[in-house]
Amino acid sequence: MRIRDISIRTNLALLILSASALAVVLASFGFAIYERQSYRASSVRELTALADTLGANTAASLAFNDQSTAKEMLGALKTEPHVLAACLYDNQGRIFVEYRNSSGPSKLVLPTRQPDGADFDHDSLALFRGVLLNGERTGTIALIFDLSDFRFRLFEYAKIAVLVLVLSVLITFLASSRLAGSIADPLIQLAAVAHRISTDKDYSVRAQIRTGGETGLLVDSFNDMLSQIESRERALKEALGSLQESEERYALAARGANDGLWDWNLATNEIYFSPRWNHMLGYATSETWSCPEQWFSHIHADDREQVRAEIAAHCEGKTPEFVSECRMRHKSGGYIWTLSRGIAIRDQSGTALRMAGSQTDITEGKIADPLTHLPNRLYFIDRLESAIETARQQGALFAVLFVDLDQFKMVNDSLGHAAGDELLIDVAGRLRTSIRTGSRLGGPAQSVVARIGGDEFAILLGHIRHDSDASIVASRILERLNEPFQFEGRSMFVSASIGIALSSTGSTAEELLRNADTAMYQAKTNGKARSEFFNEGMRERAVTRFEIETGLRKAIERQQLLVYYQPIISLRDDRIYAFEALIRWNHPERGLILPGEFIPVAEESEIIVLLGRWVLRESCRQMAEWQRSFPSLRPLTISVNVSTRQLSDARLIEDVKSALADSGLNPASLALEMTEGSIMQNAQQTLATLDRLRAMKVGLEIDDFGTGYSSLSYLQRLPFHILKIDRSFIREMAAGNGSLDIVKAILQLAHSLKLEVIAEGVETEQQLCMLRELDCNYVQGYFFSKPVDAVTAEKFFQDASDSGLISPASVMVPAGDFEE
Amino acid sequence: MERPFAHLSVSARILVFLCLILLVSGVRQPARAQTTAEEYQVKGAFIFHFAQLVDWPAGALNSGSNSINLCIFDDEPGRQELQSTIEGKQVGARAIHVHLLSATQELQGCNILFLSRDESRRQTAILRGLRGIPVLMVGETSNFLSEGGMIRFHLVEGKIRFDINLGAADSSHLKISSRLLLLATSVTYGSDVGQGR
Repeated sequence: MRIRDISIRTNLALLILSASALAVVLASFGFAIYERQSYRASSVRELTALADTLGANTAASLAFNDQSTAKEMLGALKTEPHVLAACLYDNQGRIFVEYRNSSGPSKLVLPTRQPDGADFDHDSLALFRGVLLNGERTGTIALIFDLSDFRFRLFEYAKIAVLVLVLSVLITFLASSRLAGSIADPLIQLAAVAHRISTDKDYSVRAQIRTGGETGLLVDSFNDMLSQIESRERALKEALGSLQESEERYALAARGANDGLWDWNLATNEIYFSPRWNHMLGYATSETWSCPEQWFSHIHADDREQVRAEIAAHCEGKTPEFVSECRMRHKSGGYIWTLSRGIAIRDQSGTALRMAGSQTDITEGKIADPLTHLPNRLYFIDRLESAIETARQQGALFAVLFVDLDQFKMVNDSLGHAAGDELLIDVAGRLRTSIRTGSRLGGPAQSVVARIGGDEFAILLGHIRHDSDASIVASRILERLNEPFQFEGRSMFVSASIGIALSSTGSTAEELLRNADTAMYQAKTNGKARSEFFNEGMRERAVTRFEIETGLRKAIERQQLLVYYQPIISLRDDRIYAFEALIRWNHPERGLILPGEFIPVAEESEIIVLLGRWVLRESCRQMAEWQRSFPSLRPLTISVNVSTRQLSDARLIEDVKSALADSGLNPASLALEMTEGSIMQNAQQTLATLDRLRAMKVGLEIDDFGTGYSSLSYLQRLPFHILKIDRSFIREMAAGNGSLDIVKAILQLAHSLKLEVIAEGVETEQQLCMLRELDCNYVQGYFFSKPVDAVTAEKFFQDASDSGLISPASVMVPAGDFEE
Repeated sequence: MERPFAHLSVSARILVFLCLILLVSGVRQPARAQTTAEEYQVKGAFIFHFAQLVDWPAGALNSGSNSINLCIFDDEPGRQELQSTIEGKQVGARAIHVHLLSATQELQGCNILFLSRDESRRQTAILRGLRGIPVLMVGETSNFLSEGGMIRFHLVEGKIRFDINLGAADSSHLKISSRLLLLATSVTYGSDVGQGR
């Protein structure tokens, strides 16, 4: 048993006992040594005194060499039992006289003379002293002293010391056991209490020990510590309880919010995904993922780097939180839109250790059009891509329908945006129901209706068996849209043009959608309120259209445009009354292009405004030049076509003013032609514009009268002075199908409204004769002249200048070239 | 053991006494010749120790010279040995000086006077003349003490011993230490020399 294993009580007692015993032993030794020293010193002192006395007495004897007297003197030592022997030496060191104690050892050998001083043997003392006679040394005396007596005394002392030792050990044992107990007992009890607490984990136990001093302090501190532990334990339990509660609450809230939770340990690269997170992506809750790469692998390839960058930015502390919207692949193969948010937990140096957050399915908000709640273009493209993928794998057929409302702009402009919005919502509902009822074979996963633009809708028809399935759906849509729309108690009728692209016509989503758009455009071109299947021809036309559009922009810059002039003949005097300015494009590769080929393309964009402006300026300049060149002639008028877009362009008035000012042409020599349709597009604004033009003395003509639907009340109000009958009526006049009656009626109407009339497309003498009879004012057509370039037109002026009048007869041009 | 010696010693003393008489009467010379050198060296040492154990009365010793004067007649046989032994020896603060005398009148200034056996003719006169004067008179003749001398050497068993006349010392105001008295073979108190007083 080692000392450290002995109980504190025994340890303390042993310590005290051994200390006291050691003290007694040490004291005894010290005492013995001191005693021995003092005994020796006193012996030396006594012996010195004795030697001096004897020396004084024997000094003279030595001086006078009187041994017998000296012997007698030494004989006095008989009374000193401890003096074993004495000896007198003369100055030469010879023994002069000696004395031996009769009781001492008989064989004591007398020492030879030594220098003065004490010489201790182990149990005897030899003291040598000089013998002086009146200060003169006469010899040396030596006394041998018996020290054995001291040994006896030392033995006596030892006995006493042992007794004291025994007594002191006894007393200290009694005292120390009490002392050790007073120190050790509380500690032992304290240890027992601590042991009990550590095994029972019951922190309510307290040490019940009454003691003072440091031990008391220890007990109090121990109890205080226990109180603190107990209260902390209690607080911890409460905190744990409330933590659990709040965790449950949060879990409940997260479940309610349909949020998935994730918790990523960046150090171990382990990640936890909540069951809802898995469910969001179509996975069972039992499919547990633990690797962040599984997460990333489900992110859409286009979004993956963005998500990684946002995580990295947040980990580096550049962003206050991690927020990322990304598409994630659903187990079914499609993508859902998710919003992930997270916060990193950092250590003191700011290094991110852990990141946790939520994931919300925002597909609905992300893909839905807020107005109609239909999916948007982005989602449609996404779904279309999956459909393409599926079709490629399964060889299935599907179709894309592009639906564009024909009259949406009109509704919006005439009834306001609220009506437009109402209309779109209504259309969206009708489209949805058309698909639902029409696609019994495929569910919503296969068919999608989306709003992809202002009044443009796209429909994905999944899993159709035949082309006709698509046209059936298209017919049903057109049918549904035929029903009137109600807005603020009013009924409206709208139609739609539908382009259909079959999945076989394209390999990408954008291509298919573009094809459907092209087909829709074709349907619009073909008369609206109908559907058209996309074909390769359409694509070529579309390409051509695109080429024209880009080519036109260059044509203006490169001055490839020309103005051709077609004379208008007054039937009153058969002389040229005016010229109509007609645009031509002198294409560097294709040669002269007629406007029918590029004007419709130009009308779809702002290019038509540029073209119109250019034609206006060029015509004015040319006519002004001619009028200056041929001042003797009657001033002719120049008629310039104004497109719908130009008419609604705010700069039209300015353009006209500057064209007149720059050319110096009299406003009365300028006439602007516009169709009924373009006037009706924005009648209110157009009326104001026309009034101002009329105020400027600029002539106004209605072009292609009879083809569009015009409001006769407007006709009366509008400040036109000439009306042009469309060539289709003129061409059919002789056919006996009522066209003659229409022409007649138009002429009567115009004349009653004090309007003059120009008949377009006059190609035969018969037509001319009929028009003369009907009292038409002016005629225009191949019968007289096709449109000619400025140099040719100028010949009319020269001829007229020669003859005094401009007559088309002089320049009869053979018909054959086509007029617009 | 000492008894036979003591017995012998008494007979020896008688023998020595007889011998001394014989020597003084006729056979002095050979005896004297035998002992001179060593004997006078010992006697010189004795005289030195006497000077140590005798107190002179105040004023008796010459205060100016710081010396104790030992006077010896210049015709003494052992004077050289005496002189060499004792000259310059310190007694307390004083040193012993040996004065060799040629006449009696020169006795003035002596503190110790040594008279050898050869001075027996002048002895009586000298002793008489110095009676009552603090001069320590040391001699060897048998009647030296009776004539008023103070310390007389004699031989015991071949060893030089001495006798003391305390009365003569007293009358000359010399104090002899008891330790010296203790060692004297005999001490007389001057009843036989009362004539002088």
